[in-house]
Amino acid sequence: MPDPILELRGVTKTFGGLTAVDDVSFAVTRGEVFGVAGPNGSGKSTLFNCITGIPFGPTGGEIHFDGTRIDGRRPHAIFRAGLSRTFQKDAEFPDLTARETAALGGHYGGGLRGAELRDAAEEALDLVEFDVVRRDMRTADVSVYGKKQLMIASALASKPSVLMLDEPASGLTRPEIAALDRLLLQVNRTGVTILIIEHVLGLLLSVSQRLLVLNQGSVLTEGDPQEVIRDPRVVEAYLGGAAA
Amino acid sequence: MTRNQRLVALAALILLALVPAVVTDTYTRHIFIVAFIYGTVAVNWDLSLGLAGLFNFGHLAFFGIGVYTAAILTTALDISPWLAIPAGGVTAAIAALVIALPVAKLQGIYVVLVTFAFGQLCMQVVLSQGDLTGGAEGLVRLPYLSIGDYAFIRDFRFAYYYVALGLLTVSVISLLLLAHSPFGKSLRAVRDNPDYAAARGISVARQRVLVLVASAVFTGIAGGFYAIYLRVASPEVFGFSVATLILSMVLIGGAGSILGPVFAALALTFATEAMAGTRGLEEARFIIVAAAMITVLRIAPSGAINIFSRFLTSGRKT
Repeated sequence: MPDPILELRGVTKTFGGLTAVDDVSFAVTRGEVFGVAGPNGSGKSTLFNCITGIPFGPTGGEIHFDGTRIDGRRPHAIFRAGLSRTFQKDAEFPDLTARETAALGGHYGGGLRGAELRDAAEEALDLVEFDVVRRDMRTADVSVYGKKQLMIASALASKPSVLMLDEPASGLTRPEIAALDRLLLQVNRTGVTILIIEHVLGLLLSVSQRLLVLNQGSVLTEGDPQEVIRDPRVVEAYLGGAAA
Repeated sequence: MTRNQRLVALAALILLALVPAVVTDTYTRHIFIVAFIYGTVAVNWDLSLGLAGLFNFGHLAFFGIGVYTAAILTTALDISPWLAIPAGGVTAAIAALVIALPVAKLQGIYVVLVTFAFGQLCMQVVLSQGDLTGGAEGLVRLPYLSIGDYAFIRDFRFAYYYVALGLLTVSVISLLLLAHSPFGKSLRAVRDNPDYAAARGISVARQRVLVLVASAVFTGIAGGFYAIYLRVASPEVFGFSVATLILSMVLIGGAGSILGPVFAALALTFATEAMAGTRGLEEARFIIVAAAMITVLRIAPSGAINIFSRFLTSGRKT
């Protein structure tokens, strides 16, 4: 494996008697787009939560980021180390403007100040193609797609190494998903490694260079996206035994 | 803060600075001074409750700690009131740090319970340590402020008026600067979405500790000034009446707005004082204030200042 930037070794998360993530191991290579798929309840979002510590860390296993073990670290410290995430729901800071939201990530995550911070925030907003005339608008008044753009911009303003996207296409229209597809590839071209969970398979297959499928908390398979989706076990997990 | 709000705030400050030229009686000036002190406490409560969304119901304990710090330092240790007043800010900040550590990682109702219990604990300490605090009787005959031979109680409390207005002004300006700083924005982020805030590098627990300490500084100073101004320290400052009145100022004025509670402090202090002197309303005044709070929150959940802002905005559009 050439230069893994994020590596999970036997990560497990239990809630009482329920094992939501069961002994999951994989490694994300620096600079790639790594997709995670799986049917509802397969443990994708729980896995994201375990990696970022928001709102909980794993029960067992190890998570290494850029050579350093990060499981057990506090969420803000994980972000400051360069591992940022977005949320499935439209997370927002309704009272802050788009510029302020982007700058917040640059200030607290990247330690930037003054003109450097303003430039980083503007660059991040430019990169996600956030409308210039809406940048001083309160986030509460921004569209669903705009909020997704802002979540990514506020992460990018801190110059992260890895961007983790939790179902970024949820709630978007087809043209917006197409725009998001273009945007993610654009972000990846700047050198940011992307780890993406997505239900919209078209988007996932379009952007991912490798794909991992989770089922009932465990890794079902991992590899080239086109090969993975043809795997009978994956078809069965998504569509049931009869389909396979 | 919009340009219109800044202009209104500046105009209000100029008017308040000119008040002593018109209002020359001690009683009315006294009401203004109390309103300025309550305004300082309310605006700092707004910092933790409104801006940071921390359900801190022990804020008046910081005020009471300031009151007793100034009272004890001046009576038991014979320290100058000029030093005892800021010392109130220091002890209140230390107390805030102590209470903030357990509160920082709590949520919702647990924050309310712990901070409320803290306020009650402070009152019990004051009541039980009668040798130092005067117990239920409190401490009286505290020294007044003076510069050289000039006592501030002279000239119908002319000097006290400006010290109180200065305290309020410095506190409001500090909070406005803080609210517009990255720290202030991080507080709003923590209030509105703590998980998202943590995912952008903000330590939620740390910001909560800092905001509680910051909100206690001017509150403690206001408490110290209140004790020296009235020349008395009474355990009533930890009671429900003052807490309810000041909470009403925050909520009626507009939680998170900074300026709203200042205007509400002026309006409510004068209103409750007027009702206290009106036959039949003496005991009903707090009920009326509570009813006003419910009415304003029903019409404009974000407070009266937003009704005013909307009026200004619509005026500009027409």
